[in-house]
Amino acid sequence: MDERFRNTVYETLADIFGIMFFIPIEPLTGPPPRKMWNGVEGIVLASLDVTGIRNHSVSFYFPKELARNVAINFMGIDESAINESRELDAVKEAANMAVGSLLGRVDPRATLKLGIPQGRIVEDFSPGGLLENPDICVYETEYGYLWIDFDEISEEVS
Amino acid sequence: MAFNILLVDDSETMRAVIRRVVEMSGVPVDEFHEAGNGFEALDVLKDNWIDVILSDINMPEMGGMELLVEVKRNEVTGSIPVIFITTEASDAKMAEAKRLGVSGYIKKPFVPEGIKAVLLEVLEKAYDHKPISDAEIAEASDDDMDF
Repeated sequence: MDERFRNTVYETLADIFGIMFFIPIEPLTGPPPRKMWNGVEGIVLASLDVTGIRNHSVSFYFPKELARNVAINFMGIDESAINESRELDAVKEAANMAVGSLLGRVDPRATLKLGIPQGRIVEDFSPGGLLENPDICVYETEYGYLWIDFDEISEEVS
Repeated sequence: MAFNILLVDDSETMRAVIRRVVEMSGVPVDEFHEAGNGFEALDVLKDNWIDVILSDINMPEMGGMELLVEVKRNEVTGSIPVIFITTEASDAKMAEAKRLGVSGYIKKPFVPEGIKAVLLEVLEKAYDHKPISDAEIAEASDDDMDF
């Protein structure tokens, strides 16, 4: 992944997580270790397609604790009012805002079209091939690591 | 004058957040109506008096751009101001929205003050008077508008 694009991704994500969810994020430098998954109770996955000259998919892997806190801070409600549906809705909106804002920065002529975000709970997640993917972006938060798989989007829009 | 506001977004969570921000802004609201996409919004418009529409662009079934076209070409609804609250704020997309008659747009991520400023400006322009007085604006600005 191009370094300039990686920085743009970070700036975009940091804006959204800071302004909308009050959760600071820091990019992880170096390859993410496998032990990072130890103790993660489950993953809330949000993904959406970007279509244009070629099709791309962007996937966001939220540890459940991070998803819960995104929902709490976004909606401004007590933790007891958070359920799975609200977690899913919040992470889908986070993914939508992140990719939409990113496209606004790297694709000003709007040649790419943003899809509708999808979300699901992944109970038995295994990092598998993600760990070997050089285009993966990993961010550290106080609620665990956020992983984003860009699936070649940088090559088309940067 | 209190306003009837139509919130259009496929995310129920986002509708709840925007509703809360508008309530905190001090803009007088009579009723909130909600829709999950453009088709649902058009149904709401058939049966209800709406003063302003706050809409997302990227939605299933019918998106915000198509909704804007439908609203503006209907002589009954054509004068209702439409504000986009969207992540899709590329120059090209916004130029297209302006050409189609959008009254304002708010880029996500937004801060509460951003929604308030655009909403007040659009309502003042559309209805030819200030929806809230300068004193009320100052008072509302002093309120805690954090989420």
